[in-house]
Amino acid sequence: MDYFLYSVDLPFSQKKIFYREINSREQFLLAKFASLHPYGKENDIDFFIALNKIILNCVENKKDLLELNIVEYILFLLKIRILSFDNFLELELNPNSEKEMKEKISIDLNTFMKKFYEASSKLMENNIIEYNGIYVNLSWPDTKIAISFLENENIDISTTFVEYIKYLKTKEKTIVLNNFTKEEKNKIYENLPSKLQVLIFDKIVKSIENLFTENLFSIKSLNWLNFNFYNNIYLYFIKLLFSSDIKGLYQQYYVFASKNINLFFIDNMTTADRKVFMSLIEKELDNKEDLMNNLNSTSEGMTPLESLVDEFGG
Amino acid sequence: MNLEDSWVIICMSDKILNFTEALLELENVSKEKFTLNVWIPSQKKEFKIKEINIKQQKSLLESFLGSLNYKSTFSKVFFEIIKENWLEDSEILNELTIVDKAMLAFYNRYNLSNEFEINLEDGKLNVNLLDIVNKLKEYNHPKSKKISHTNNGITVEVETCVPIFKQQAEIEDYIFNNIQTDDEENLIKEITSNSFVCDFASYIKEIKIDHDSFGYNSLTIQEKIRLVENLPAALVKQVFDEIFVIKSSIEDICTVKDGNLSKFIEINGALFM
Repeated sequence: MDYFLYSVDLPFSQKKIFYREINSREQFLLAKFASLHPYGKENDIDFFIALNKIILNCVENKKDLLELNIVEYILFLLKIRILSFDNFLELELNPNSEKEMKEKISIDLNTFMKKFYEASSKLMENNIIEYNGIYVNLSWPDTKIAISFLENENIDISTTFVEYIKYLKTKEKTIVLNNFTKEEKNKIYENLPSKLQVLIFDKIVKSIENLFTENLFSIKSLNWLNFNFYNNIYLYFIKLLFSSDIKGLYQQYYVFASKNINLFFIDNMTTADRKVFMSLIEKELDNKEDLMNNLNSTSEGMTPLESLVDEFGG
Repeated sequence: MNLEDSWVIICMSDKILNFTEALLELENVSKEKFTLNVWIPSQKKEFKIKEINIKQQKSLLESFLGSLNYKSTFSKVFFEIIKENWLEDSEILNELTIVDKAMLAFYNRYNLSNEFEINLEDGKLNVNLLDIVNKLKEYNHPKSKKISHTNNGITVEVETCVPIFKQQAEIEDYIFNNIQTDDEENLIKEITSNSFVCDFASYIKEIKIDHDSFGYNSLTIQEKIRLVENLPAALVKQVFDEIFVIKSSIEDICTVKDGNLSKFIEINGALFM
């Protein structure tokens, strides 16, 4: 039975998500998927879908998770990544020329999360547009919808703006756009006055621009890595977040198995559990090594008789 | 309580609309709230119309893309939109002139935003749409004028007028539905010559020969073209002079100047980009 002991309050939807850490088997599956599938839009989307299946497994209130918008979903991914692994993403950047050295960088995911939240909050601040008695509530698009933006190479961004509308409200009547199909949403959107579209357009473009121009990584060499939902850079980043050293994982499985630790138990270990077990095994090895060294050092310089006296007392 | 809180609370007591109800609600709200009072120069008073919606704006932009292929359908599309949005006596629609069309186009565009920039070879020109709207409000709409010509004892009388918006839309439709050629070079020639004759015919309200009316307005476009093609050259010249006066007065209003830069703002789909 899984226990979802951790919780996180999401800032825009006010939803509280109960979750647990990603376990060894899940980390192993993700690492394997990432290492078998090279980077590229199609593969990044496939990875994202696989990741969703695994993440869903780690959450108690699955329905709430599925209803999160893309920004909140990424915030949640960061949270579970930090809890399950650690808050640093270590990367090695290839040099631009032969003269340069490889650059090792470390992204602090807590800082990234804070900056990402602040940059994406721009849309959610004053997110209600009022025009002649009609109110439009804007929000970041749903995760599934945001991923669909990547399906079309030459997407006209303005055609996606309907997906940023959460509610339309007239006097005592509310139109919840998520209740409708894509075609129905478009039909509703098309019936809005163009002036209102100008206001919606302006707000969304500014928000996307804000997210796009912000250096979320706080690292100069990553200035080029612009974060928006119209290219797969963010999926690439998420893939990096959950890619692990698969060889290291295989080694750990091998070591634990050799210590007769039950495979089911290993599968359910968290990264923290594995660290503890590994440290115990290392300590055990160190102790053995020390004992051997002690034996060797005490034996050195003694005659066989002196050694026997030393061992059995005399 | 901030706006977000009040929004959520109100939503809880609200009626959540299904798709059909939602469309109906938007239609009702459009008639009530999303309206404009536009000054119609030919009628010398304001009329209430619905604002253009996103779907209509999209079709206006599509008409502009068609015009890049020499197949402008702007007048037809725009007339249909005005017809759909008109909230007053529909009979007036048949009397709207191209000056009214200009006013309706500029006012609708101004309602979206007063910012309108045109790229010229020598630089950018910022257009103040409100200036154009105000000039159109003050515009003295030309009245019909009779021009006659007598030759060999036969008098031909032509009554000129500002073209009717609806007829212009029909003419545009006629031109592009009767293209005979596929060849691009010939296509331009054909459209240009047809447009020229059709444009001329649209400035005519009535033709009389020795006081006998042809019932010009009830003729088909084809019949009108055949008729004007047979008018005496001297009369055509006089009619052209009058057309020139009307056109110049409209062009004056739609031309913006900024220092040395000057540009006539065409009324087409690009206005709504």
